[in-house]
Amino acid sequence: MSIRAEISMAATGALEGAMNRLLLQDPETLAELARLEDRVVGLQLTGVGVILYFLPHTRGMSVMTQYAAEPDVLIIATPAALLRLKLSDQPQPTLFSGDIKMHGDIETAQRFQQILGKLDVDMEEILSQYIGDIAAHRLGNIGRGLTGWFKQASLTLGKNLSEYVQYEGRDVATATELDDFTRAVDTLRDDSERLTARINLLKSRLT
Amino acid sequence: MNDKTTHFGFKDIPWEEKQGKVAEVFHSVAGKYDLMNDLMSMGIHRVWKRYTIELAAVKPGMRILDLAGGTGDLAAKFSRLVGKDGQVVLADINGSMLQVGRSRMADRGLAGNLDYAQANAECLPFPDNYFDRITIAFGLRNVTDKDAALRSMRRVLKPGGQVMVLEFSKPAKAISPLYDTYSFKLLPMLGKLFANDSASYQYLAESIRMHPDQATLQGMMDEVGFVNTDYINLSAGIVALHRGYKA
Ligand SMILES: C[S@@+](CC[C@H](N)C(=O)[O-])C[C@H]1O[C@@H](n2cnc3c(N)ncnc32)[C@H](O)[C@@H]1O
Repeated sequence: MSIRAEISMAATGALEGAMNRLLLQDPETLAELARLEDRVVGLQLTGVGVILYFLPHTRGMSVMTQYAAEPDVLIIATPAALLRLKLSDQPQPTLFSGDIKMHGDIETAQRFQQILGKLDVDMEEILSQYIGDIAAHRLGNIGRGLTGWFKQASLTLGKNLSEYVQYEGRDVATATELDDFTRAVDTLRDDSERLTARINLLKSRLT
Repeated sequence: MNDKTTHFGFKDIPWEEKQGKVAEVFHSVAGKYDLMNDLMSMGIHRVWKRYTIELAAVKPGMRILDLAGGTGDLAAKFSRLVGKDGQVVLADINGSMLQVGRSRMADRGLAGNLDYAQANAECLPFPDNYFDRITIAFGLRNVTDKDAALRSMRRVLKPGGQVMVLEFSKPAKAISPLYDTYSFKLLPMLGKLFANDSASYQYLAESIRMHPDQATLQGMMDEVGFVNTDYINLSAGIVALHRGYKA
């Protein structure tokens, strides 16, 4: 298993841990989520090359990057659209705007999105984990050799000792990766701000 | 009389004593097992398990055996994946570990499709061709007769089914000095500090070293009749995930 896969697993674990901690503090949302107990929602981030599968259950949800069966619904969204989900005050309409597409059971997707919307999930943080994953992929290609692996691993392990133990470690990025993905997230944010500005402009022209 | 000997950590002990000694170790660590796992592996064991769960390619309706499943990390995830039409059996030889596992599952609100079995991997009490997947995570090295265990797993696996053995293995040379220090100095110290039981953790470190390396274990799996066997090194071979199928 490449260091990329290990980082991706750690990031997924971190995401799962973070979401479940939030959910446990929010019994109402948790109860709504539990009603999707037999559903699987896939979320594909275009351009990021990763699909996240969400499997709700009574204590939160499992998050996976591979799922052997068909998800009930696959949501395909640009990272910017996902960010806006959180930035916008009315999350609903986003679902039907052009940069989010869906295949499968739309109702499940809607319910899932409403739940996500209520939950105070930090979308930027989630995205940064996976944008970091791409950076890691690049790193992985250069440093397939053991030295590369070991450098990376000792950084990872060192950081993990303190935080990883508390819940499935979220902080597995190296300094370079962090730089890489804060920059990427910044770009995303700028893009989405520009988009919002354009939408506002369009709106004002319409009225 | 059987005068065969086997390893218990680095010691040679009579073959028939190993099971009892292993039992002592796990009775003694059961309550602190999860905490120690996190401390000992610095949380990385979760990454290894997560990877195993993803590669298991579990589908709704499947029947899964998590053997030597202990406190049930894998079984819990499988339970959600197989859904209400599937079945997950958490099996362990050790009543104390199983007990901790059972109450953890109840805490997580899992029950419907989960069964528990106190069973020895060497002679599994299940019908032939019964499971779609069998996982054994960090369990095989504790088993006295590993060949018998592998044979037994193959027997209860359905044709086309997959077995996954996640186990400590032989790490790449470059990291061995550090790894040695870690496992023979730091590990027993952690054991003493957090579980007041350095002897058990000494055993764990030694048993990790005595376990067959990647090629040997793959050979053993071939030998008992698994097909298309392979392995994936995790964390530079500190751990390896072995896979095999029943034709
Ligand atoms: C290190 S724990 C692993 C637990 C769990 N699979 C995990 O990964 O966290 C090893 C387990 O193997 C069990 N075990 C040892 N010998 C066994 C045997 N012959 N048959 C079944 N289980 C056995 C022990 O009781 C213990 O719970």
